[in-house]
Amino acid sequence: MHPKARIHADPAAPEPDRIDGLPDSLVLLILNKLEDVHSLGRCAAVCRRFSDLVPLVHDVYVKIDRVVAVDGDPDDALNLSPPKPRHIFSHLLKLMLFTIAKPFHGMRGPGGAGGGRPLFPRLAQHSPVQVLRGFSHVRNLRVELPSGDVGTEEGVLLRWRARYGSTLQSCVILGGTLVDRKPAGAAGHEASAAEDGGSMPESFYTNGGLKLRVVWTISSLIAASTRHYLLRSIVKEHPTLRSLVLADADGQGTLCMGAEQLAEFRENRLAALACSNRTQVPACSMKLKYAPYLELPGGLGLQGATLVVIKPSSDGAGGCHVGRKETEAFVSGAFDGPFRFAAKALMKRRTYLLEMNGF
Amino acid sequence: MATREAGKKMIMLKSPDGMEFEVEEAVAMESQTIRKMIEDDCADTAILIPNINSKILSRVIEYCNKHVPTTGATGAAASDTVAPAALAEDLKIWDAEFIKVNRATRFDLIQAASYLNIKGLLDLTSQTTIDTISDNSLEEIRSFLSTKNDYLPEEEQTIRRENQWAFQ
Repeated sequence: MHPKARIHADPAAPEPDRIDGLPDSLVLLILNKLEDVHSLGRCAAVCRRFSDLVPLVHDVYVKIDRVVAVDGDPDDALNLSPPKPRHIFSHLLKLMLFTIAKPFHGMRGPGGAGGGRPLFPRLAQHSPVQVLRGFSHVRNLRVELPSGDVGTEEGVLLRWRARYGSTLQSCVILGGTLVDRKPAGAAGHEASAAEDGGSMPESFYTNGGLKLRVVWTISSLIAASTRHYLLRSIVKEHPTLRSLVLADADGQGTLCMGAEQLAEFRENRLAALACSNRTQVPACSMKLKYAPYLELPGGLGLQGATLVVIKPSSDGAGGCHVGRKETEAFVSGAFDGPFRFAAKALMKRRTYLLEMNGF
Repeated sequence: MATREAGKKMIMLKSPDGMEFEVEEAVAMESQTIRKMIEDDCADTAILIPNINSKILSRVIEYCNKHVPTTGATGAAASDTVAPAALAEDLKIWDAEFIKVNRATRFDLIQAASYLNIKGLLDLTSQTTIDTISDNSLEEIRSFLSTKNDYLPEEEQTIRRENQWAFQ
C-alpha cells in the first residue's frame, strides 16, 4: 500500500476481510436470502448498519413455534403496539395457555369446529404481527405453523391448498385412506380401477366413504378459513406484500395469496364470523374425483384416493370467477412430488358434483 | 486449454493491476455484464474490469470456465454423453471445493460476482455467507462476519429487548 493512501484513509474504513467492505446493496442481497426471521432479528442487533438494512429485506420466512388460544378480544392480543417490556408479555401469556393441538384436533367432525377460542400463532411468545413490525419492506412472506390443523388417523393422507383473496377463491384437497410403501395387491386394484371407469363403488355411499370425504373437505376448509383470519393484521400492516404463503411443518395445508389476491383482500371487507375465529366459507361447488387405488412414483400406493376441487358458487358474492384453465393449473401445481402425480391422475377420473352452503 | 479449436472467438479481460486474461467469448459471456458489452460491440479490444484484482478475476474466470454450458474451455466436450444429473452433481462438488476460500476472498468474490452479474457465482458466495449466519448466536455472527459492534451497551440492550423473539 502507498503511504499516501494511508494518510487519507479514514481510521474507520472497512478492512478488506469484513462484510463492512461490501456495499449496502450486497449486504441486503445476503439478508434477503437469509429469509429466516430469527436470524434476521439477530442480524439487526449485530451493528447499526445491519439494523438499518434488516427492515428493508424483501423476503421473510417466519417459523411459528406454537399456537395458543386466547380469551377475550383477539385484537387486544394482536395489536399490542410497540414492543413492550417483558413483564407485560408474561402477564398476557397467563391468558393463553394451551396449544392449538387440542382445538384443532377436536375438529375431526364438522360439528366440533365452532366453539374454539381465537387462536394465535406465537414465536417465542410474540405474535408474528409484532415480529414483522420490524420489516417495513417485506414483499414475499412465508409463514409456517408448527403442525397441520386437521387431525387424521395414522396412515391417512390429507393435503390441501387454498387460494384466498378477501374470501376463498379456490381450494384443492387431496386425500387417501392409506398411503403405503408396499403396493398391497396393486395388480388387483389396478384391474378393478380400469373396469370401474372411475366410478365410486356402490359401497362408498353406505360404508362412510363419502361421509369421510365430506369431513375432510369441511375440516380443511375450516382450517383454511382460520388461517385466513389470522392473516388480516399482517396484510393490513404490510402494504408492500406481493405474495403470502401460510403453510405448516407437516405439509398438510397451504394458504396462498398472490399480488392480485392481496389487493383484493385490502379492498374488500372480510366476511369474518362474529362468533368464531375464522372467516366465512362461501357457498361452494365441489368436484370430487375418486380412485380406489393409485400407484404413485417412488413406490408409494394411495388407497381410496380422492381429489376435491372447490370453487365458490358462481352466483356467490365476490365475483371472483376463475377460469377452467386457471383452475387446472392451480390443481396440478398444488402439490409436490408423488402427490402432484396423484392430483393429475385423479383429474382424469369421473367427476361428481356437490354443492355446499356457506358456513 | 492448449489445443483451442479454431474459430472460437477470444476476449481479452484486463484487471486494474495490469494483468491480462484471454478467455473464450462464451466463457466471458457467463458474465451478463460482459455479455452486454460484447453485444453492444464495446468489446473490440480488451475489456478493463475495474475494481477486481487479478487474483479474484482469475478465480472468477476459473468459475466461468467450469460453468460454461456444453463444450467449455476445459475441453469437456464429452458433456453431451454425461447425464445431466451426474453433471450437476459434479458441478456441485466442484463448487463446494471452489468456495473453500478465506473470508476476504469470499467477500471479494461476492462483489465481483455482483459487478459482473454472474448469478450462479453470486448465489454460491452469498449462500456460504448465509450458512455462517443461520442458527448462530449474535456473537458468532459478529465473529464470522468480523464486523464491529458499534452499539452503546444500552442501545444493544434495547434492540435485544425489541427483538427478543430472535434470541430464544
